[in-house]
This record gives sequence, structure tokens and C-alpha cells, in this order.
Amino acid sequence: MERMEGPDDAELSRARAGDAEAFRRLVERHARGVFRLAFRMLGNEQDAEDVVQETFLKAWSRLHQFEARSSFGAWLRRIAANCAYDTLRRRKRTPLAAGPWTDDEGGEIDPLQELPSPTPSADRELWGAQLRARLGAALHALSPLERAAFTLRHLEERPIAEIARALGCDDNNAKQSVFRAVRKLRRALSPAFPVTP
Amino acid sequence: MNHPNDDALLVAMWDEPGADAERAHLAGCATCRERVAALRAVLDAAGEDVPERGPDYGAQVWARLAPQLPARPVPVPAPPRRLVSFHRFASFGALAASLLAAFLIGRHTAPLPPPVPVVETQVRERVLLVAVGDHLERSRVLLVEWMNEAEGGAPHGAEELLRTNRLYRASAERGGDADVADVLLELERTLLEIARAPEFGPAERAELQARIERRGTLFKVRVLGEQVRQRQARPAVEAPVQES
Repeated sequence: MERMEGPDDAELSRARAGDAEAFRRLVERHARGVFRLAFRMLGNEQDAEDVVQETFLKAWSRLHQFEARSSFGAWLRRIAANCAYDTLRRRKRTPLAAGPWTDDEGGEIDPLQELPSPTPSADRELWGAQLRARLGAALHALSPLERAAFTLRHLEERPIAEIARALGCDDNNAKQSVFRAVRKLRRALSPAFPVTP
Repeated sequence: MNHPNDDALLVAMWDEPGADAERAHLAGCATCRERVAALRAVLDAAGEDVPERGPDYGAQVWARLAPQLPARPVPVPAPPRRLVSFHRFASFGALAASLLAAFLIGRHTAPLPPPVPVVETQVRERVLLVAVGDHLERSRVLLVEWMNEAEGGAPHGAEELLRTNRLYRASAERGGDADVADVLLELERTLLEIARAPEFGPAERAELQARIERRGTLFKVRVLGEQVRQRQARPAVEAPVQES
């Protein structure tokens, strides 16, 4: 099957011939997407910026390996995911410590009561902040593979097959890693979102 | 009614292949649709709070990136050449660089007539491994020293290591050894940053040291150096007996 012409093709062919100016346009076009992916995988701006630099450096030095079977953007994402995954593997994981959900006076609240309310309120905002804090801690406690696979599948909406290629594992391993990540995230949010069999 | 479990619902929610039955179930089951909606709402929260980057972000990235780019991307590899042809190389560095990938990972990509005597190849391989190992060790020592200094100019030898490293990296890329090339690319980037360090104030220097620490450059160089040393330590394979 022939691949349709992509929006990056003209710059790509010039960049492959050594035209740094063409590569600059590719960097400017894709940098924000690469940063977003890296930040979601790492949750840290400095590390994400490092991954952005590393991704484009590797892309430049490997342009001759790009085979145009996928889009340039997908190829870049694969490099970025791999760099971020390496960073995750070097990090120490933080063990997860879950406590009760509380209001601003320290009293326990039932987050499920807060969920359906469509109107903002102080309690709801507090609950939202707690939800994000718990999710953040739970994400830090995931294994590198779980975090990478979950981010790519749920937040970046990449198919399992592409995730497996990016992370160097098989499809089933990638899928099971996502499932484990979701279970752990839900467990961290329990009792609001209990894990069901 | 039997409801699908959460894993099956996730697969259906993400529209992965092989979940037709679950998607059909979802279409007719309000309870499961609610489960999926609640699940999605919670998981979506994990992707919030990505710091905003303005429209000029790409230009900022380029400004930081451009000084670090090697002169040009590695071109499409040339057809396989004879492994040994001393007269083609002006220096040992070039010879070592051109052979790095094949020796380091111990594989050849094409038949290489006429055959090179095994003993001769082994001698050159060992010489090369010593050179690569020496390069990695000198880079490691330079990095360790620089990382532990709070001030001072570019360390002596950084430029020379940078030049040698470029040769090795380009060769590893031509040889298709992405893992070795990645480590050498990162080392090159770090050496380049350090070579520019005299322009930095103390705060910038500390920030660069922290960045190098986070990237784990030293660790990667140490691991690659160890792999090279292990290969050096392997006993040479005996040459086959020539039939007369």
C-alpha cells in the first residue's frame, strides 16, 4: 500500500540531505507535542525539557533510518517515548501512601458525593486538588513500563501495537501493563473508585 | 446480564481491535456506559496540568538544540566495503571508527572476500577495543572531575575527546548499532556542553551539572565501558587449522 504524502515530507527530504534549516522547521512544528508527551510520562518539567532535546538530537542523527512507513510525528513520538521511558527507569520510585479524603478542616469526606455536582464549590475544588495529588503520587509509584504504557494509551491515545514497538515489548505485555496501571491508579483513589473484577 | 470486566471495558473504550462483543454490550447497557464514563473521567485527570508552552516554544527548543547538532545527519549507509584496507585510512582514529560497530558488537553484515586471517582480525579487534575502552575511560574521568568542580573553565582534553567521540558515534550509526550510538551521542552532547562551560556563570554551571546528573550520562558511559572491558577480557578464539 502506498503511503499518502505527509505534511512533513518536503522538509524531511531536505533535512535528510543535511539541510539544518529544514530540520528547524520540523522541530518548531513538533516540539510542543513532544514536550506534552514527555511531561505526561515524567510529570516533571526539567526532565521533560531534557527529553525534548534528546529526542530531536536522536532524530537528527537517525534521519537516514526513518522509513516513512509511519508519519514523522509518530516516529518522533516513538523516540520521545523511549527517551522518557529510559528516564523513568533511572528514577527511584516513590512508595504510595494513601490516606482518607479530607475537607479543608481535616474532616473526612466522601469524594463520591462531590463527583456529580456540576457547579464549582470550595469542597469540590479541594476534592479536585486531592484527586490530582493522589493521582500524581500514584503515577510516581507505577513501574516505568506501566507509567509509559498508560500514558501512551490513555492520554496520547496510541494503539497498543504502537506502544509495544516504542517500548520494546510485545503487545500482550504492553496491554497488561496498561491494565495494571489502571488498577493501581483506581486503588490509589479508593474508596471513591473501587477496583471491580 | 453478564457485564464485561474492567479490562475488557478499557479495551472497548480505547477502540482497540478484538473488542467487538464488549462494544456491542456497551451499546445496550447503561450501567456499563456509566462505569466507562466514570473511569474515563478519573483517568483523564492524570493528563491534566501539562504546563502551557507558547507558540514560540519550537523556536526556543531550536535555539538550545542548534549548537548541539552534529554537522549533518549520518547519510544512508554506503554499500559494504572490505573490512580491512589499511591504505584507505589516514589515521588510527579513522580506522578504529570505521570498524567500531562491527567489532564492538561482534557481527558482520555481509560476506567480506577475500577472507581476513582470523588471528590478524583478532589482533586488530583487541587494539580497537583498547582504543574505545580508553576513550570511554578518559571521558568518564573528565566527566567525574568536572561534575565535582564548582567553578573553572573547560577541562583540558574536552575538545579532543569530542572529536574522537564524533568519529566513533558516526561509525556506530553507520554500523546500525543504535544502543552504542545513543550512548555516544549523549556523551558527545555532554562533552559539547562542558566545552562551552567557560561561558557559564556558577548558577548555569550548577544547572548543567544537575542536568547531566539527571540524564545519567556518567552511568551510561560506565556501563558501555564495562561492556567493552568484558569483551577485551574474553579469550581469543583459536585460528582454524589451514588445510594444505
